[in-house]
Amino acid sequence: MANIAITAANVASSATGAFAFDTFHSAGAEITAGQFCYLDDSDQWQLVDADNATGTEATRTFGIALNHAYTDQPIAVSRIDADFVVGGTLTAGVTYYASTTPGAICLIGDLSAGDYPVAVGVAKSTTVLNLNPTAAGSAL
Amino acid sequence: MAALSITQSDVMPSADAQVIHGLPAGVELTAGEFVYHDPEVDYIWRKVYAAAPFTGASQGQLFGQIRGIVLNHAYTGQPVSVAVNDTAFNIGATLVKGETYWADGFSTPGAIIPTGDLDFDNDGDIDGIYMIQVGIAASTSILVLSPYTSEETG
Repeated sequence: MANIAITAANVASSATGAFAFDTFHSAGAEITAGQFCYLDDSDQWQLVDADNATGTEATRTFGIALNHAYTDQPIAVSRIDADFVVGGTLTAGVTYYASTTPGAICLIGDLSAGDYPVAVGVAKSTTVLNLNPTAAGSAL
Repeated sequence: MAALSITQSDVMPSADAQVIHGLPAGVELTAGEFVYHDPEVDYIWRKVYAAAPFTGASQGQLFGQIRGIVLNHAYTGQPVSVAVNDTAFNIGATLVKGETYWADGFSTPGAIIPTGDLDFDNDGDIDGIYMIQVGIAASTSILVLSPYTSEETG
């Protein structure tokens, strides 16, 4: 398998999720709509990398970017949304995880020993994700 | 003269900027574009275009509309952040200190032009567009962002 291919223009929060996205923090790096992020110790959004212990801790705040920003520009990030349109093709019922490609989303089978699993959400259909990130906080 | 050539990654508000976050983009918007929303119609950001006269819906020419500069990038329907007032706005382009900048009404919606370009055909007068001020340059990179229009055409 591979990372989910995401079309940035198709990423969208639901009507209810629109009240749960964060606009109070800026990007700590260039971030594109659909990338999976965590809030760093400086309160900036960074791309999650399942290779790293930092940014995959159980206590982190996670979300998916809703637009694009360069470093230090403001960015909107959806933290929780039961009907999140992820902009890629999913398999209903399957749980998706942070990839070892920074910001990308993959299946658990794409991770290996030593990686840090962070569940992004469960697919409700081929397009909609129940976005509710949860980190294990420990390596496989 | 020409519309400002903006490097999107350099567009940055100051810490004191007034920013509206989270309202959706009505079209694809990029950092540095001049946009408006009309609180009497909806709360969707669209590109300002100062052309006069207009028929049908305005494109940001009216007094009561809120105007500002886009701070990031969004496709249609995605949330976008817009600075509506800032005494030290880094616009990501080279400015002329002391120059006043205006919304383009001749060629490109969302673009920003200097005063000299209001005389688009170089005939010595302003060429019939709405006078929509974006701000005044405090230096070669910093704009005092203070959008305003009196709904007058030049």
